[in-house]
Amino acid sequence: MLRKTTEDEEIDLLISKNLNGSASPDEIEKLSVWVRNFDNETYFEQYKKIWHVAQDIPADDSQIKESLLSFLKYTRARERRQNFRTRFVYAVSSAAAILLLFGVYLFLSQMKIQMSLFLN
Amino acid sequence: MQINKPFDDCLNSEELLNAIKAGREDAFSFLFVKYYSNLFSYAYRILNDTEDAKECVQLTFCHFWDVRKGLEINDSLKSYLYRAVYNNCVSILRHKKFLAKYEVKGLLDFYFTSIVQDPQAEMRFIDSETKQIILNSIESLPKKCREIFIKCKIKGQSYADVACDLDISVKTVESQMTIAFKKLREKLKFSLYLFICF
Repeated sequence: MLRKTTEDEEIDLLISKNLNGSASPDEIEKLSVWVRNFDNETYFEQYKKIWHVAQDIPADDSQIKESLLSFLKYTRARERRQNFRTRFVYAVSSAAAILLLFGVYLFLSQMKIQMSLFLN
Repeated sequence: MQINKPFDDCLNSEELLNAIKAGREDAFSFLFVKYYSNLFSYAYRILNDTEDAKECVQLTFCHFWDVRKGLEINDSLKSYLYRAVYNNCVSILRHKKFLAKYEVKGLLDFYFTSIVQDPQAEMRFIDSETKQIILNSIESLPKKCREIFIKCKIKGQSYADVACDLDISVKTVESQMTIAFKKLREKLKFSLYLFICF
């Protein structure tokens, strides 16, 4: 950060490009080699701290509010879908139960008819 | 919509966790409002894109809602959220093939150990005094000087590009950077004493 020669300017440029994702594969390799040196690594770590502070851009209130509303819209829709699904499952199972009972009734009454026929 | 603050004193309490598991809207809104801004900033510094960062945080909260019933928190809701944002960021980077340029050089480990800020480091950083001191020093720079400093040292533009952008000479950029260095050195020498070695 406190370097001033052209070579040092290049190092700073190399670091900032690596941090903001715009570095090329060669620039990535160059930095990975450069930071192996103890002093360089220390410099790099300090640089990173300053970079993170300067890039720490908080969301403003309108963005937070807008995002919260869209999140709540999502949760409510999911919940409605969940409720609908639960009700649907109940409805289908009740229908199945009624059909089953009806089937058993038919079966039994058929049995009864056949039994009486047989006995007679 | 009302945003209650009933959970302020009990961030790690059973009560909040139970409210989350029960899908209570006030509990979710509370966490959302409390952490959104910091999580967004964190995602932005990994993804380097505002829209991606927004989407990442939104995705994180929606997923958080979906898995609420089976949620197992061993540390805290806060670190759960930071970790989730980090993981989603990495997924987005992978999806965008951003990590390919690290893979091609066999330097994927370099990215994860040295470039990206992991969630623990981020949580330590966010409330640290170091952050406050650096922030104060950057803010104390004169407006023009700060603008040039940010463009050169944070956004990664060359002196020549910045000179061209702002329609000033390279000499002016250099002299403004000298001022920035001098002031930052004065302000940061106690906390970041290593800087004066250079």
